Amino acid sequence: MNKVRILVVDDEPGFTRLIKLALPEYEIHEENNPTRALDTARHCHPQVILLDVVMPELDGGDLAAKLRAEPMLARVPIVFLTAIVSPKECPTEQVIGGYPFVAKPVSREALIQTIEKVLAA
Amino acid sequence: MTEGPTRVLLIEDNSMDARLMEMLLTKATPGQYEIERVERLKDGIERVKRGGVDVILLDLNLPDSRSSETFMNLHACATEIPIIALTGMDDTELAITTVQHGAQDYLVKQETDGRLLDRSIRYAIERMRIKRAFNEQRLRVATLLESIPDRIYFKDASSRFIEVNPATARSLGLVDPSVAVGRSDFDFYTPDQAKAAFDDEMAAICSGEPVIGKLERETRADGAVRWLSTTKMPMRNEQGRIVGTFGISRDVTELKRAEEALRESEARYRELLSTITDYIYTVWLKDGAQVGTTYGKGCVAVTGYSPEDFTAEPYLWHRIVHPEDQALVDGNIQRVKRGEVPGQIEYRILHRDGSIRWLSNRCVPRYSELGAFVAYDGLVSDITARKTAEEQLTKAHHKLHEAFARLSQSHKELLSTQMQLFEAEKLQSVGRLAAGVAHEVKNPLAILQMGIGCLRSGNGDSGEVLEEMMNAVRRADTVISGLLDFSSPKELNLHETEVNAVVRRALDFVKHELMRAHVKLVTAFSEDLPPCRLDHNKIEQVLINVFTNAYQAMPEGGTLTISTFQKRLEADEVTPDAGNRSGVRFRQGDHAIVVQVKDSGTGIPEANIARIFEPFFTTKPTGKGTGLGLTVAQKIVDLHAGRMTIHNNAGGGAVVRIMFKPTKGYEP
Repeated sequence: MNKVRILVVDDEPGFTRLIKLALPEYEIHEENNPTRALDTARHCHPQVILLDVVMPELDGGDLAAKLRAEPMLARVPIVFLTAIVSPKECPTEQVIGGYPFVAKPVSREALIQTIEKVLAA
Repeated sequence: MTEGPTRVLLIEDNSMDARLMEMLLTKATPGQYEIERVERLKDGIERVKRGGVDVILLDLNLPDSRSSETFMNLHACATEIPIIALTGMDDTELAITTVQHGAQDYLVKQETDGRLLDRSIRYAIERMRIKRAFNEQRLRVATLLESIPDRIYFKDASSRFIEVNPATARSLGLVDPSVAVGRSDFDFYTPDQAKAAFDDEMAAICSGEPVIGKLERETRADGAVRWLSTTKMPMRNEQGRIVGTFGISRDVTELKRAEEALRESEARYRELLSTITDYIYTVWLKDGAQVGTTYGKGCVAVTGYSPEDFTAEPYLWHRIVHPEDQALVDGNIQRVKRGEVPGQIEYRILHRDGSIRWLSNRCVPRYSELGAFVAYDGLVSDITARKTAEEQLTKAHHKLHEAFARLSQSHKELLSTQMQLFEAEKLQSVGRLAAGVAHEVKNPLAILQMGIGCLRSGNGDSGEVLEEMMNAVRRADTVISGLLDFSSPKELNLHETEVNAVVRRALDFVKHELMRAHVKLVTAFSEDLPPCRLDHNKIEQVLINVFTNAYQAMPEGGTLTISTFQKRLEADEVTPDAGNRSGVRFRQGDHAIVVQVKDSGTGIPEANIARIFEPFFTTKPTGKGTGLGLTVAQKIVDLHAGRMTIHNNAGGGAVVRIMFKPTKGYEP
């Protein structure tokens, strides 16, 4: 049985690395450079994209917009990951576009739950 | 008159007449006359020239001369010898003419007897003596008037000159004294001077009282001032009636000047005396007991008491010593009496005028040739002025000290206030940075939680997981430590610091904000910057402030270019900007480390550039800034002897430059 492919875009290599180690039930693709994320997504055809919001040069919101603009990727569900520190840190509705977001730090179980939820939707 | 017989020269050619005369004289007064006879005038003149003739009996008709000519010729040769003319009965007229020409008497031969002849001779001689005396007196008076340098003058009852001596004439500007006659002082002097003299003379005439030794001031036409001592007397005629005045004036200008010079000299002497602040005294001893004292005259100036006062009251010197200083003085004397040579002592006395004076006293023992201790000598100086000055100096010093202490306290308080201000502004920054800091901490926390998930589920290589978790712990720790560092120190803490490291740490704090604001960061750090003494926390605070301003100036995103480099400063880089006094620390050509922060925002309105460092000046909405950020930033840079400038970039946006001096001794 093929594992679900997940692309994790986060400028923290340590975080993407541990997600890969913590979630062996999924096929995790790491991308630490947001500007290269679009290319990576085109190549690995993810079924779910975990997207960090605050990143240098290109943030999660903008990247999400670009992903949606790609016909091949437009329907791939996105889960936003963000270290919420104040209400204004919450991604806006416009950014989320109906997708869920997960606040860092997040437990392995909670993350799996969220991923399963978007896959089932 | 000479003693002995009267020597008579008889000039008579008639022998009968001659014998008669000799007989008459001899008979009347035997031995009284010694008669010598010549027959001719020529012989008579020769005889007179030889001298020793008291009186001449002259027959006017002689073989070699006749009539009045005989007398005239002889008289010319013998003006000092009385001549009695001898004539005949028929010649009385001639005889009278002769007397008018100077003969003492005339005798008619035929009528002459012994007594008459004797009397005539005696009177002639006496009259001649009186005339001679009168002439001598006249000559003396004339000589006096002629030669005396004092002015002598005679005036009538209207104060007009009757006679003046040459000295007076000279003083009036005249060569010939007679020119003055009939004129008055009003013709020669100023009205004031003439009037004063006139009044004196009238007073003398009216009262009969003389004016004696009056000092008069005379101003000459050329302005020179002369002083005269004048005596004026009323002048009386033979009847004793006052008919005028006479006076004598002596020029005493030199005397007056000498007097003035003396007075001046005396004044100087007195002044000098009053400044004398030393005197010497000697105390004579016998068998260790005081037997007498000698005091120098200066003791009057120093103590107010004279040497006589000290002699009259043997313990006066001790009585005037200030009670608090008596023990010191007594001790000193005991040491001297033991033969020691003590050093100088300083003590107070009560001066006769009631004031307290400070004296210094240094005394030395004196020994006789045999080695006996006979006296001690002391030098006393008035040091009141010095002591007073010392006291004032001490007081002034105290005051200065107090003022300095107050100033130090104020300075300390000011510094503390300043540090509190820095702190307040820093806490504001911390508040603004809370989101970024939280983000920096939450990311490692996310890693840790994910790691825990791994380990619990047994997924992944536990070594690898733990390694990542350790990294995350270190990251979080670094962030927290930095934050603590940033907020804790309250003083300027200078250390040799690498500028790039400070810039990077400051960037760490705002990295998150920059990302959120879609600001692209471009850095260009020169890697060969010289070291520099900085308080890295304070400079981080400055840089965070500058970075914050920069991204806030780019709400729509943009590029923040941060560069570090070193350079020699140009003339326009050391000119202080308006409202910025920190530039004075740099000179043209100085070597500087520069941190340059360039944004691509809207720039600063020209009107605000001048006020940008002013406290509480802000363009941000309420709650976004204190208005103290740049004020504090500049103050901090100032404390580092650095310079901070802000200007608009030609291509848009603002450029902030922060310049530091490399560590002393560094030469590129």
